[in-house]
Order: sequence, then C-alpha cells, then structure tokens
Amino acid sequence: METVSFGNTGLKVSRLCFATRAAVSSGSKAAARSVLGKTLDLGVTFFDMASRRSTGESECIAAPTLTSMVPRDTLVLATNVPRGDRVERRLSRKHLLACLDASLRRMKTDHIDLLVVPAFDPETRPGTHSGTPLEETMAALHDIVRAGKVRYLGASTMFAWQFAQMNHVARLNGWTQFVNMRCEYNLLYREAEREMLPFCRHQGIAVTARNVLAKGHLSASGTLTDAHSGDVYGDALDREIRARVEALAADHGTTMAAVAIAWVLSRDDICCPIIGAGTADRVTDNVKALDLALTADETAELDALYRPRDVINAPKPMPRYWREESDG
Amino acid sequence: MDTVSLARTGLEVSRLCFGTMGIGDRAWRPWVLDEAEAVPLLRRCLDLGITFFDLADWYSAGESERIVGKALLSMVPRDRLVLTTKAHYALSDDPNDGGLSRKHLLVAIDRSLERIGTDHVDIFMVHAFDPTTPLEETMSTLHEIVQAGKARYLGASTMWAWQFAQMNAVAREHGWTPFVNMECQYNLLYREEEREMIPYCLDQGIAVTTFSPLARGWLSGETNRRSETDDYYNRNYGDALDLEICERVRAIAERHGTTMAKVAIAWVLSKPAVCCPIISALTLEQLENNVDALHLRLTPREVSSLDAMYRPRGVVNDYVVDLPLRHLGGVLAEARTR
Repeated sequence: METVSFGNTGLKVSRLCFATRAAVSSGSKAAARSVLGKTLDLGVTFFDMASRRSTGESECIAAPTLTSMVPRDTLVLATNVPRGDRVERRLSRKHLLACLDASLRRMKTDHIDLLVVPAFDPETRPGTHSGTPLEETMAALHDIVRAGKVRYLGASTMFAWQFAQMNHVARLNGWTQFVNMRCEYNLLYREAEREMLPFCRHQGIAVTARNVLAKGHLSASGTLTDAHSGDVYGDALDREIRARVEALAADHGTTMAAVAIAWVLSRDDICCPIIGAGTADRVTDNVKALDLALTADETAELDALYRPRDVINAPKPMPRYWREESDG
Repeated sequence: MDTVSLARTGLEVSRLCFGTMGIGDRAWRPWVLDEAEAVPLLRRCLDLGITFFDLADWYSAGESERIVGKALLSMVPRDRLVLTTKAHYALSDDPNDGGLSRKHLLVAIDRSLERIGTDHVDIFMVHAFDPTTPLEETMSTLHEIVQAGKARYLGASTMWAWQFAQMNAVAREHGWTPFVNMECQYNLLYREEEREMIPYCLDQGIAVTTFSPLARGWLSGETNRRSETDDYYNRNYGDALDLEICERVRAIAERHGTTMAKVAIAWVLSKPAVCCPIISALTLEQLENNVDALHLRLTPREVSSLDAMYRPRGVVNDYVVDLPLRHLGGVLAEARTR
C-alpha cells in the first residue's frame, strides 16, 4: 500500500487508516488478531483507536496485538483522548493528562503517535468565559508532546473557526499545533467542504475522513446500525445517492463500500480515509477501493445530487448553534 | 434612534446603518439613485437619527462615495458621522487596481478619502478575501493605514469564517490592528452565517453588521425598479421554500397591520448577535418604513415560527456564486423527509 506524507509534517502514513473498533468488538483476541493481521498484510500501518464507546477496549486489545506482530516503530498509532460523555470530554489539563496516561497503560506503549482531541470543549460557548480556556488545553497538549508521550496532535468534530482559534492560540504562544483534522466525510455528508477542508488545505493540515460509509448506509448491508445513523442518514436523497453507488459498484464488478471509499480517495483534500471492518474479508473488500479509479464522469455523477445539510456533531446531531441559543 | 457600541470597541453607532450601494450612477446599475434623488434621502436618514453610513469604492465606481460624502458633510460635522468604506473589487482592468495587495490598498484608501472629502474613515473594510495576496501583506498594510490616521478601525466583508479568523490571527501574532467588524449577508432567506461566522464573531467580540435584510427585495413583497433589474435578485433567491417563508412574513405583517419589510428587518433586529442591520431605500417612504421596524416587536413565537422554516443552503460569497443554484436543484427535487 502507498504511504503518504501526513500533511506538512515529516510523518509518513499508509494511505488508508484502520479504525480498530469493529475488529475488537467481539472481545476475542484471536478474532482481533486475524483481522489486524490481515490489515497489516495489506500494508496498513496507520491505526486509529478512536471511537466513542470502545476506546478502552480497542486500546487494550488492538495496540498490544499489533505490537506483538510488528515492531512498534513501524506503526503509527492514533488514539482519541479524552473520551466519554459530555463531562468526560472536557479539555482541562487535569483530565487530559489523566486520560492520556490511562491510554498509554492500556496500549502498553510509552508513546502515542497521534493524539486526537475528539471535540471542542462541550462547555465552551462563544463570547462567554464558560468551559476550559483554549490556553489551558493547548498548553497541556504541548506539555504532553514535550514529555515525549505524544508525537503529533490532531482534533476532531468542531467548527472550523474553533479549530483555527485553537491553533492560533498555540502559535501565539509557541506551543505545538494540531497537524490533523479528523472529520466526518462521505458522499452523504460533505459539510466540511465549506470551511474545514479549505482551511486545512491553506494550513497544510492532514485531513483524515471518518464514517466514509455513512454508518453503513453506503455499504451493501445497508443496515443502519444505531439510532444516531438513523437520525442523520437515510432520507430520500440519501437513498438516491446510495442507488448510484450501487449501480457503479455493479458496473465495476466491485462492492459498494469500495466505490464509496474510492470517492473519498478521489478528493484531493483528504489525506487518509479511515476504514473499519470486523472481519478479514471486509478488510480486503475495503482495501479494494485503492485499485478502483473512478472516472471524472463517475465522481461527477456521485457529486451532483448532494445538497447542503445541517452540521453533524457527535455524539448526536447538533442543532444549529443559533437555534440552541435563541430557544434557550 | 438608539445608539449601540460597535461590539467590543469604544465606538458608538446608530442601531441602523444606511447602505449606500444604491446611490451613484445609473450607468453602473439601473436601479441606482442619482445625486438629486439621493440628497433628500440622506437628509432624512440624519433626521431619523442614522449616523452610521456604509460606503465602498466599488459602488458606482467611486461616484457613490463622492455623492454621499459631499451630501452628508454639507449637512453635519464630520465627527458626528461614522463612515465606512471598502476596497478589494477591481475598478479597472489594471491588474493592480483591485485585491488586497499593499500597492492597491494604499492607493485605494487615499482615493476613497479624496472622493468622500474627509481625511479619515471610521471603519476601513476589505470587501472580500484575496486568495492571491499573503495575509501578512494585507494585515500589515491595513495596520499602517490605521497608524497613519486614515482609518480608525478595520472591518471585513463576505468571506469564509476560516479566512476571517486567519486574517485576525495573523494580525494578533504580529501585534497589528485586528478587525472589529464583519459585514455579512443575513436575512430570513439566507442564514448560513449562523454556522461559523456569527459564533466566531460572538466569541471574539467582533461586531456583526448585516446587509440585505430584505433579501434583495424578496422579503418586501414588492416589485420595483430594483427587483426588476438587480441580477442578484433572481440568482440567489426565489425557490419554493423562500416563497413559503415570504408568505409567513406576509401573514405576520398582516396580523400586525404593517409591512413585510418591517417584519423582515424586525426579525434581524431580534437576533442579539447582530449589532446593526444595514438598511437601504429607494424612496423616502421606504426609508421611513424600514426605520420604523425599530418599533415593531415580534413575539418569541413569531420569531421561532419564522426561524423554523429555514433549511441549510449553499453559501453566497464571491467564490461560489453558482453554488446556491446547483444545490437548490437538489433541494427542490427532494425535500428532506426526516
């Protein structure tokens, strides 16, 4: 598998990043070993332990399994800290340091290559002094990097202005900046094209795309596996886009997942799509996307149906900022 | 008329700002008022308590600044007025006669001051983002213009939130003057700035002034010289949902025994993040009607019934003017079923 530069850093990563959540979801080390082994065989070196519910589990099982199969230095390990519910996602110095040390213990490693802050501090509101000051968060992250516990910093799920502001605070103080934005991006949800992707392009920030199959809506099973995806995806227009993916997959004699991932790979602004799979066969299917070159006409056909939609912010669709304020 | 602080500055401005794009030379846009028509309108603005006037070099290629400056300065002392102007749009084919380069900005401010007939503007604005000029070049030049006394404050208009945030970040990192004002399009039919720009401005204490409260006239329910000849009128607005929102505005106006324009402006005034709506008018009657929106209180239920109909739409700015049309196709084809 091709490796690519991670934005304007010296780090090289495999073109596909593998999210380990599904691979460890059975809790069986043998099953995880078979999926992760296949993933390594296919050339993936970039692994993401980040997921809302099972970070602990994926860290405990995936990281030690991977390091038992290949040397630690050949892997690029990313994790999501802090995690959990609204309170647990606060970005205070105390909480960040505690969560990070817990992650290192679970992963049985002395450093993480990419630490991803999963969201903007949920208590922070524009124009108020609520929430954690950006200076506190960015200073703590810088100290973590200086201490050798983390190599690079990334962030996920926030508005572009918030991300820009966090990096601004870091730059202003000579602290480590984020080099990665991990955002929801797929054929059914492309709101990052407005602000986030152009900002990252301007700044040389590597974008990793999560949820490339729109919670399964763009794969053959088509099952909406949780309440969240049912809220966000699956209206009539989404189904029409899905039908086009299905038709293209049939034309190419490949899977819907491969078409959906190939579309993400065709976007210049995306450094690495994040894929995930619970079985070795699914991994092979997803990786097929790398060999599938969609023509300009085909990507245009997939692009054409999209319409602007509301912003999704995990763990639930976020109401328009404004509406929340004026209703409150 | 009440005055308000321009967000986190010491500057006081009238709650309504008067936009002067509609004053100048009919050769520039067919709906524009000439000097003889504009002078009584400007006088009435002052009578009604408006002290905040929004100008730009681009409006009628400088003729607007000349007429507005001459008229206002003949009526009241300079210090009673808060005047803006803007630079960016090309005024000729000369490749340096536009954009946010050092070369253009320094000459643009001098020419604007000369046309207006003053030695300073209160807010000097960049009319849009210039992707070809380094941010450091633009922000250092703007800082110099402030240091030279030619502008009191800086503002910006019509760009992505990340671009605006980045320009301000560059200014702060170098100790240069940051922007204190964002002027953006905002009305019942176009609310995309609620996503990124308005929260950013709230966070940073930047004054949001908003243009096009009537969506180029759609929300006034009237057809007139402007709606018939303004190319933006049909290009940006007018799909089925827009018309439905207009109908809701009409119903609320009827309930209050007032005009649709007043309801639309009162809706903008109801948004606490908006410092000053920028209004305009073609006639004295329209002007008085629009200013009277200050006295119309919409109930929270009316505001939320107007809010609820909106759906996300493509962004209107200088780089993606075609986007709304492209996206509206999808919206019209298939309303969200959720």
